[in-house]
Amino acid sequence: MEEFDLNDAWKSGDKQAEEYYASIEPEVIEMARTRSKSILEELKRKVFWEWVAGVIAVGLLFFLYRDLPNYWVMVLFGALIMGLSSIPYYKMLKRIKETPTQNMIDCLGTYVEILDGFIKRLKFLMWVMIPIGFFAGLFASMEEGAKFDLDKIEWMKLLGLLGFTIVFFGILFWITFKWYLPKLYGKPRDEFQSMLDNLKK
Amino acid sequence: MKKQFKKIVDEHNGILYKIGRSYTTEEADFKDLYQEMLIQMWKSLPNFKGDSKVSTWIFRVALNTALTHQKKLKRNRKTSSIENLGFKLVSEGSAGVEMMEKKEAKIELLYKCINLLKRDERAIILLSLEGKKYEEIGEIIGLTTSHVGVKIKRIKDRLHKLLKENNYGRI
Repeated sequence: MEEFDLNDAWKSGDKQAEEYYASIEPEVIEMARTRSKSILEELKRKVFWEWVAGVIAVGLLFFLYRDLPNYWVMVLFGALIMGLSSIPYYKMLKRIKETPTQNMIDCLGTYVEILDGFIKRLKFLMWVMIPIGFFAGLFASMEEGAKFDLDKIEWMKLLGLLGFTIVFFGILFWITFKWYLPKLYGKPRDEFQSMLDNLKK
Repeated sequence: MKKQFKKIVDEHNGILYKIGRSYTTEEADFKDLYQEMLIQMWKSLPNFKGDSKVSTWIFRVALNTALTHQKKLKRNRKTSSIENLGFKLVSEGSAGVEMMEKKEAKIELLYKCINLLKRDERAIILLSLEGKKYEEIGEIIGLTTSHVGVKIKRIKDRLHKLLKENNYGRI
């Protein structure tokens, strides 16, 4: 059996390419100016909407806690959390924009770094900022000049609330770390890493 | 910018088509990817300062797009056996001569077998088939010239094996 001539077969694809291009040629500019459907563009959009949802959630908290005595603590904390969470989003969007023209190894490497960094920062924000937020909320709800009196504490109510809080945050953390983060960012990250490893082999 | 973009695409549309065919197995997926490559080129054009060849720039943008685009398509794909691959963008037997049909069958089989390679391997083999020198392939991929040579040899062997397994002798 004679060897398949790769170059000759590849060259014969030019005719198909010309015929296809002739059929779309008048609309090429319009096609190029439409909204991207690539996985990274979708990721960028999701990240943006996550940020918007965060702003709305913080705004809602401000509204709900507007009558608390130390309301300013919540405002300060909300502004801090939004500020801190905006930095990784901004950096991520900026770096994704720079990557298409890099060589393939650099491009894939940058994507892996972006996603790794993003996941780490998000974990940090959740592990650190949620507990801080919890205590900030407690502090904000304390009445001015209030004294700590063990006898006045309604233990059942307090334990019930504590139990609910632990379960609520347990579920929130589980969904975030076991499902949301791996599905949205972990899977593409692993695929990029796998391609990168193959290229370097 | 429109004129410059159009000129670039007019001159290099062949490679966009071939990358599209090498990374997709269905017509709808192909059209999506082709459009996505155009979108990314359009977005990247203002940042192109001419510090590399236009063809190098196109290959980088198009291949990076193809690599990332593939994942989205994979999610919707139910089967990947060679029997289910392949689509005709050109009407069957349009040339009307046996020689032309044979050539079309050959290129269709080649696309099908390239589709069975790993995604990163596809990028390297199609650059090689386009006749790019090792230096330029290295520049696009980010590998040294000697590494490119080793990889091309390995991938070509695998491709020939796949062609044999898929009975190219029948063509």
